[in-house]
Amino acid sequence: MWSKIRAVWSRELLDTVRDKRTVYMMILLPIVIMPVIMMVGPVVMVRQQEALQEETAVVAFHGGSVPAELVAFLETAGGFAVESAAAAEGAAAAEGTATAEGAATAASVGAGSVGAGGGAVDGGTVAGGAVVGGTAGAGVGARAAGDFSGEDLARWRERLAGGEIHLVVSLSEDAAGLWAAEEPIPVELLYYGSSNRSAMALQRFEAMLQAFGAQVGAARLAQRGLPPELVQPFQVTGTRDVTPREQMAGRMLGMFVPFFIVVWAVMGGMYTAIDAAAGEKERNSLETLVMVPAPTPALVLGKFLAVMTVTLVAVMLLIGSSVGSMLYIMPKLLGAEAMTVSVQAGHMALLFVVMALFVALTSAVELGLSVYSKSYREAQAYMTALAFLVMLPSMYLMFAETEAVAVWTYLVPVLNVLFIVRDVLEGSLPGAAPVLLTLGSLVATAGAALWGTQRAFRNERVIFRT
Amino acid sequence: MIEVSGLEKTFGRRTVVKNVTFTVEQGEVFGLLGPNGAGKTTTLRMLSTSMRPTRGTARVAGYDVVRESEQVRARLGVLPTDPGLYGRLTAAENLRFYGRLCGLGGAELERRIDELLEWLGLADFKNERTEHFSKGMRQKVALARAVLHAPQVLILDEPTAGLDVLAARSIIEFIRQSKASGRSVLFSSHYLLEADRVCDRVAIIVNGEICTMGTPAEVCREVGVDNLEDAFAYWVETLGASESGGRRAGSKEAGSRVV
Repeated sequence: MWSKIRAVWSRELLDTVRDKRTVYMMILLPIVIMPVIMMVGPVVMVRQQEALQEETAVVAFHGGSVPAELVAFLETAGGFAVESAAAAEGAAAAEGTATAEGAATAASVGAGSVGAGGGAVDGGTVAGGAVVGGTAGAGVGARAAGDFSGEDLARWRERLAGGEIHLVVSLSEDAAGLWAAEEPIPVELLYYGSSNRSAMALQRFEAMLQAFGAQVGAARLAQRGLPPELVQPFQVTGTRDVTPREQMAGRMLGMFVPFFIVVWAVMGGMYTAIDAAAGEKERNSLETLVMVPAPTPALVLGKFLAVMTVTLVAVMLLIGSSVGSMLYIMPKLLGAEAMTVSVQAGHMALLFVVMALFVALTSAVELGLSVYSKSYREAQAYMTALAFLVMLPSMYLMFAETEAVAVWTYLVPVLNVLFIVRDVLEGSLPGAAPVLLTLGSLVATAGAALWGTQRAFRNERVIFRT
Repeated sequence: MIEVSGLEKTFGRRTVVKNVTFTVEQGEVFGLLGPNGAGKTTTLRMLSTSMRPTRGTARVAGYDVVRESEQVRARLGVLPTDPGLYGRLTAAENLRFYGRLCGLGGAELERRIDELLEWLGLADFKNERTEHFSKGMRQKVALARAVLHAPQVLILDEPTAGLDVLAARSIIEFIRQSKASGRSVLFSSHYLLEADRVCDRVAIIVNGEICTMGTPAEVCREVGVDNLEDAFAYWVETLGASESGGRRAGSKEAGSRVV
């Protein structure tokens, strides 16, 4: 019996390693392509953020006159170019849509271009709000900040979308009066959310405005002979994340690795499973195989073990390459320190057992579906559906916070694997009952799937279903 | 060697093999002749244990095809219509795999593989992948696979279908040599000339029923014709017409002729 199982197993593996599709799915994709896909997004994003931090953002002022102190602060801070009033007017004239009703007040700004102006516009919609020069309060102006007419707003939107400017700072019409009276100036900030440059300009300008506000507030208190600490009942001296680096790494791995395991447990050995039954039907070798003097369980077990071997290798390679990329390569690319994860040997053994049992389950199900399929194409359709089926809970768990999980959920294959793998990587185990339920559930379902596959293999309606 | 009695196979409401009875003696070549869809392949599949009869019994080398299927398979070599080889495996690897499933191994298996490939003129292609082989070469490897474990009985389903003249000749020669070595051969075909040349006895099967059986000469004499092709045409036209016309004129007559 064992020699026959080994004969089938080795034949399937030999066939598999000579099949380019399987080698691609088993080796190339998990080792090279998946880590590259995984790293490209974050690395590009971080690089882009860094580049945007260095770029000069073009800011256009609108509404009331800009306090000279703010202009001077902007000049000192750097990183901003303020659009000149002439340029703004030129753009408006070219567009032919702007209707500046208020008086344009020039304000001299040193950082970049000079001058800002704009008319208070009726019926505008605002995209952000701030108060300059003190604590927040209701602005009392002739026209409020962000008071745009429909056409005016459309014009600003178009200029923001085109990247001509990155931020519009709309001050209340009576900004000068409010500044002189040391009252808060309402400010509305217009930005274009789908543009990274605009979003970055907003972020930097808000921080700059906050720093300027603090500086002005302190100066005003000093004029009155009061210490700045008077308006600072608390002083945050710093923040510190006390999460151990290993746990942070574990948390990051816990987000992605369970997903990779369950998805690759389906995808990794997919072609071997299809080839082992539906492929045999298509090339008419299955009929010959069922006529050899070997017991059906030996044939099915040999095929099952081959699918399981290929899947397990693919999953291990994917985990190895993903963990390596996330902990070592990606931090290096981003100029950070490499991370480490600390998992106890016993937990690692549990992780492997759970993974192997889950791979056994998916291998048995895939083989069963393949036996049932009348063609390679039909089997491929079933495998794709199966991949989506396991992907859904995995994607949910990737982002959801699931701190207290009901014990019965450990009976559900896929979910239980996701929980256990995540817990082990994060350095916490859910306890004996959930672990035992998981192992029992996986053994029972894998056994049932294998038994069904074995029955199907001897069913002439299935074997000759073409 | 093969004893078939009242064998029937039904798929849903459709009976594709009806009350088939015949025997094949040791060292005899028996041809099961019939048009496409007559029930030849289904009959052979039941004898080779891959399909279960709905009714009737069949014994191969003394073993029941249902209750003792593994013993039957150990004594039976089968060549299906399609060679069904593993294309990414070489000729030797294909044979080695089946040899191991038949319980062979080691030097004995390697010797047997070399011997068979040499005999079939494929020794030079032993380590070539079969996906590059011609249809005739693949059929020869499949033949080698069928006799690898030295079976007492051979079942060949349309062994020469789609082969060129030379390849078909080598298959016929193979059947003759098998007979000479004392093996019983049951083969299905709709090529009447080769059946005439190689079969000791033939049965003509139409619409799942055997309508006549005997030596080629007896089958011809029965309907007053001088060759197997005319006898075949007579039965196919008679029973085919009765099937499509709804009148069972031929079948009653044929029933009386079943041996």
